[in-house]
Amino acid sequence: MLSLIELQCRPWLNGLELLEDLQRNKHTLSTGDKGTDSLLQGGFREGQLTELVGPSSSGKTQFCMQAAASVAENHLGRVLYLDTGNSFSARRIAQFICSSSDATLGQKVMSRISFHTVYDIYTMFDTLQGLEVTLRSQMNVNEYRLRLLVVDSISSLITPILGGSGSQGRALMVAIGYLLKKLAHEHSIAILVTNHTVGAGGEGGKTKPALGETWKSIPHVRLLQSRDHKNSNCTISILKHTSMPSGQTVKTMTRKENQQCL
Amino acid sequence: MEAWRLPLSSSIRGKLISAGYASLSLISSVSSSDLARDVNITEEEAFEILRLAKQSSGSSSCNGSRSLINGAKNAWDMLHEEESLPRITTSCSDLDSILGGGISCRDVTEIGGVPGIGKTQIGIQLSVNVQIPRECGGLGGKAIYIDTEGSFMVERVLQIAEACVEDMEEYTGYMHKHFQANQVQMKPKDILDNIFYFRVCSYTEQIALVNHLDKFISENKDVKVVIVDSITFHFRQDFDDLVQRTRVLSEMALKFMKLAKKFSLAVVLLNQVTTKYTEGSFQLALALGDSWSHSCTNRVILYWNGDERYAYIDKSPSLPSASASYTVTSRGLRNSSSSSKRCSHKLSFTRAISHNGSENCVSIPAFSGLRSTSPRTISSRRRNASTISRSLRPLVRAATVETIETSSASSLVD
Amino acid sequence: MQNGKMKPENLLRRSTANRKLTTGCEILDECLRGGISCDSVTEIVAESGCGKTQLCLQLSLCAQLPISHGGLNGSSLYLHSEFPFPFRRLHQLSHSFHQSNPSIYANHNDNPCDHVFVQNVHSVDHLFDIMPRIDGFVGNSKNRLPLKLIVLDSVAALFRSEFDNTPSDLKKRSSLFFKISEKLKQLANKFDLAVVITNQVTDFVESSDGLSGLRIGNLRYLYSSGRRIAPALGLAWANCVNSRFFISRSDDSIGKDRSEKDESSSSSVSRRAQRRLDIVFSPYLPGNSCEFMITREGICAVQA
Repeated sequence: MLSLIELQCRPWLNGLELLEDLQRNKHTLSTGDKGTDSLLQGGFREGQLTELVGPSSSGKTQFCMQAAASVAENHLGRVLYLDTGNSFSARRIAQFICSSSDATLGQKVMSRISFHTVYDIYTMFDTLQGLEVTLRSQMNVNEYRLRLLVVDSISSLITPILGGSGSQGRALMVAIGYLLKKLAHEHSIAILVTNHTVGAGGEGGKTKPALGETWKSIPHVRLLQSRDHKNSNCTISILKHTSMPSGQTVKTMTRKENQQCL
Repeated sequence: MEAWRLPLSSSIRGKLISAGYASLSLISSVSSSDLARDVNITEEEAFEILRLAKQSSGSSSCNGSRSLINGAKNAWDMLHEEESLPRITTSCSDLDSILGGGISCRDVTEIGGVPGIGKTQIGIQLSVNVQIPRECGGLGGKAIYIDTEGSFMVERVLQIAEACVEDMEEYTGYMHKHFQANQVQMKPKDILDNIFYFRVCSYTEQIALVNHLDKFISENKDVKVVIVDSITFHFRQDFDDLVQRTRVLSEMALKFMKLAKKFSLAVVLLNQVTTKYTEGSFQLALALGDSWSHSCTNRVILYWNGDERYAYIDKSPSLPSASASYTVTSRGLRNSSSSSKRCSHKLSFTRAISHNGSENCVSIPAFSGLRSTSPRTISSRRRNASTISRSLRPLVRAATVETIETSSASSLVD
Repeated sequence: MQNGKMKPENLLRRSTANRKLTTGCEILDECLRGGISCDSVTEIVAESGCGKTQLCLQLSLCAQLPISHGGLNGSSLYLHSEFPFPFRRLHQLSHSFHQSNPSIYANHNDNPCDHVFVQNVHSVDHLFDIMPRIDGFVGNSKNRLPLKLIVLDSVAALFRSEFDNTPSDLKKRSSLFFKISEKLKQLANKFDLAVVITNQVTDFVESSDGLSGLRIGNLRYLYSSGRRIAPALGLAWANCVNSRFFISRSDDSIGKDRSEKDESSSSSVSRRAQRRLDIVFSPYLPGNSCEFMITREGICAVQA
């Protein structure tokens, strides 16, 4: 019985082991755009939950797809793309992949990206738990392991259950946040989620990220994306980062092929 | 499920149970190396146990490396699926070009604009065009039209249907050498018959109808498009509980997305435009607010540019932002006359619209207003939408805001 | 929820077109392809003095005509929010109406005014109070013609004073528009009525955000009496109606004497009385316009 509990709990690690784990297992994944990479000092960190916030049609899905394509191609990792709003487009991913001219290579890259639609939070829990089981049971010597998990967008799963009378919604939101972070840490996956903005209330008309104050502390890294509609430039700025000051920004431009920094 | 049901040798089974692994869920929750260490078996045996456990619990395929989770598809397969998705033409080839061939099935498309810009006309045109038979390059399907405002006029539908039938007859007349036996027999009355028209007069009726659609479409499998005109009307009243309104709307959006995916049909939601007070001034936005804006896959905004109607792709996962002009004629939606001037390669424009290329004469689908002579290929078409002029910017944005300057020429060249 | 609503309407069983109510003037009827449509909310925008009330009164009378004559064979309900109601003008019109339709009004004592019901509305709340009574009113039509036309003259007057210009008030006001429109459309659909609403105009003021110049419909600019105007109640209300028609008058007709005895200047009289109707937007009519006149007998075609 005790052995079972011990198995379930993670063993204690000291700081040195953590550092070793960091250096050995937790690499940075390029986002596919040099500017964003330099902003994030390399890109996404495996083991961390990165959130991208932005108003509608600011380019969040494009960012996610570019990241997926970049990880599949450059890092030879598998990507799992969970889509909540029918916004995944395989065609666009194909455009992001530079080696799509070579058909067989392109096919290999694209077959590393798995895609699934999830429409509500309970399905999401089931999916994540199923994923956990799969990840644990796989031998670690798999040639392509899962490196990036994208959830686009997590806010459309959570918003329907927030509000209302009970605080169930918030509890579920926190639960899913922790489940994601646990997955990220245990299996050295980088997780990217997107969030939308809502009006901040009052007469000011400012916008703030959805999901409220409780969610704010859950992601490790928060990025804000906004789009200047006049010339389709996007600006990505850091709202929160574990090792960098917030407020730094980078401008990117959306082109047909991929996002490139200005 | 119990561990002793697994088809293992009895010694291993015994070791499992004495170590405490009585149920499959416990087995599944550990990794193979931990299991091996604990039960005192080799790693291969542990892996085998886990594989069997997963198999019998009915989870994802035993191979492990094929699909990460149950039901996931990989992007390469999806690419092929996407490319073979049929699209519904809008009868306006410019509009079709920026849409990548037309309104795509399996997507939720939102079309918004000011009153009088032609939203209902587009809705009616689509509900007629979806019925174009496969021999002529269409989908041969039926349409569901949900009318919340009372703008659906049968005489107008009849007009558009008659024009469509005439176009089809001309097309088959031209193609007569290719199709020997098939003769298009559609009559305008048949077209009316294939549009399932629902009128809703309150938001409760709207919700009830949307809930009922799943059953209805299961019984009428050839429905290929669902048009809601307009999705917002009943929700713009004062709701006592705004949270409830948001929840109801997001549930409705979800249902539409599921319908689109499940039955591979196109869902077209027509939306109104409102003024929003942001950052100290009033600006235009689509109705229903920020939380609604991610409920659709594609968004098209209709606006006036001078005396012409324009459509702008505001949100799309795979199409670049572009604008195209269109007109509403007695025969339905057609290309605007200035675009036909462009197509005839005249370089003197009456209005100085700059283009990045003059390759606007992409292969035109069979039923655009221009009597094109090139038949459309029935297989998928990948349009190069970036050739459509980028310099035109609409005056209305979706959830974000943009002021209108009818006289200034900021990003409009007029 | 009745089960009947879940079945789609058979479009073929509907007559090929919605029933139309004649305006009493053949030029207008031609422009509108028959007249005002039933099961639809039509808005008439005009500055004061252009004749919207005249047109509404005439429509109320025309509703009594049998269907063969372009009417709806029904009575009409006239909700007026502006004072006073022009009873004298109604009687005047009714008299000439009676005379010009002898076949219908065989009995000399038949008064067309009997089939026009007038109700005063002084605020938005009052309007909402009246709505359920209309429902009952239409239902219990024993001795009289069934109700087939509702006129609301004018909607702008209901909103004139109660609301400030703050964003929250405007939002409240907008949601009331949709509530009114929804209720009227429900009535129109349930009983196959024609609903006509009149609206006023305001002077066009170029505002800093450029929104006042927002183009709605077929006309880029709306001009009346030589100056540029905009329909009242803004974009929100424009979303609430199915069709919008704009009546305007030209420059030369202001500031002249209205002496009807002056026969010599008949041309100037006719110019004074001349009006123009433009179709701003409509789900089934192309952008079109026509000219008509207002005379003692009512609205009639422009004399050549």
